[in-house]
Amino acid sequence: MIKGPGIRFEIGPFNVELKTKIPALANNVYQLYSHSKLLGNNDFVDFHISLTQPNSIRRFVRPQVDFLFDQTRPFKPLALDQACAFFEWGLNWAIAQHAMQFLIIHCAVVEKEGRAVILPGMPGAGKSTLCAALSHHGWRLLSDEQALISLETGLISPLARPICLKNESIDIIRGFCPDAEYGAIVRGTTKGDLAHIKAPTSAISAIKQVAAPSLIIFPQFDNYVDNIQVDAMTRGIALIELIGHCFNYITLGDSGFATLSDTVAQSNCYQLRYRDLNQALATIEALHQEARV
Amino acid sequence: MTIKTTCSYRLAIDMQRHWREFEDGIILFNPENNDTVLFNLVLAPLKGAMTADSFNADDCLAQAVEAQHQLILDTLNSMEELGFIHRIVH
Repeated sequence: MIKGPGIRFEIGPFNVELKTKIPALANNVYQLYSHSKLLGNNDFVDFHISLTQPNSIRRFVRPQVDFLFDQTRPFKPLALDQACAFFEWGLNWAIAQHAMQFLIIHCAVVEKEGRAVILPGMPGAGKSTLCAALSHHGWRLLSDEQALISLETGLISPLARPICLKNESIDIIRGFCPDAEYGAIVRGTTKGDLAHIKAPTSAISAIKQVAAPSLIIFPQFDNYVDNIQVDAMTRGIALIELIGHCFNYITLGDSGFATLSDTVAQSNCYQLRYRDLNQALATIEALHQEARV
Repeated sequence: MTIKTTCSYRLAIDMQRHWREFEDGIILFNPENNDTVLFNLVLAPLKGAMTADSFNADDCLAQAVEAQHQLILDTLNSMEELGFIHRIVH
């Protein structure tokens, strides 16, 4: 079906249509999104996405794949064996560029007891690894990549998409979360080796349950730190820091400022430097309990 | 550009929408260019003076002890440079 009229399915608050004749991608999507709600042909679609092989020599010689969004090509083609990653990256872009009903922060987000922990970080900070670990140890996955904060309500909508792991994290999480279900490993990307793990079923089941922000924790994995380091951040500093992690703060103007300010105002903010995942999880749990008081 | 005590100024932003107070400072948002700046808490007691249609540096200095006067002048200077307050030219 994905090769013909395409497959339509729900991803968080969005309806996505994917068309592709690339078997590896089709198989990966079927595996990683198997619990996502399928939509009918008459359902409205937010993002029309196709991944196709070009009708040129690049179909056969060092084969490539194109990403099409509403029939336009926003990116240069990638190597065909990166099709699975290309779909995920392209969807990240589509959401960041078009979902202007949300303030979108580049971060991981997890939830427990209705309250969300926002984990912003630069590439390599370890937020996806931490997100994967938390999602398989009692926390609900909202997203490993983008926090969608409603401009209207200030609440965070789940995406619950596959979690992207890179390089060493792939094996670390394989050991830490033995029940995690992995998709294909994509090697040799600009970010190294990538693999996506399926969102837990519990996260998909609760796809319509929004959460209020409660904690903002800037994580940083550090292989040289002996003990975990937690430093409280004042909210003004945290807000200024968060602006750099927003995809559409500038575009939203007043609304972005208001939403980000409200988010920070109701959150306790911290910096977390860690090496041991168990310690990091225990610390986040403790901060979550403290924030309840 | 230096704050002049002889000049009048007006706030260039909407205090209701673009002024947020946190424990470590006052964050102002400039809708003209989306600049978002964290200012010293010394700005907090000046809010009343700045709501007027026009104010001058002395109006602001009157809200604080002398030890903070230079900091206030520096803050007002930064606010003018960044476009959060405009000099009223008669």
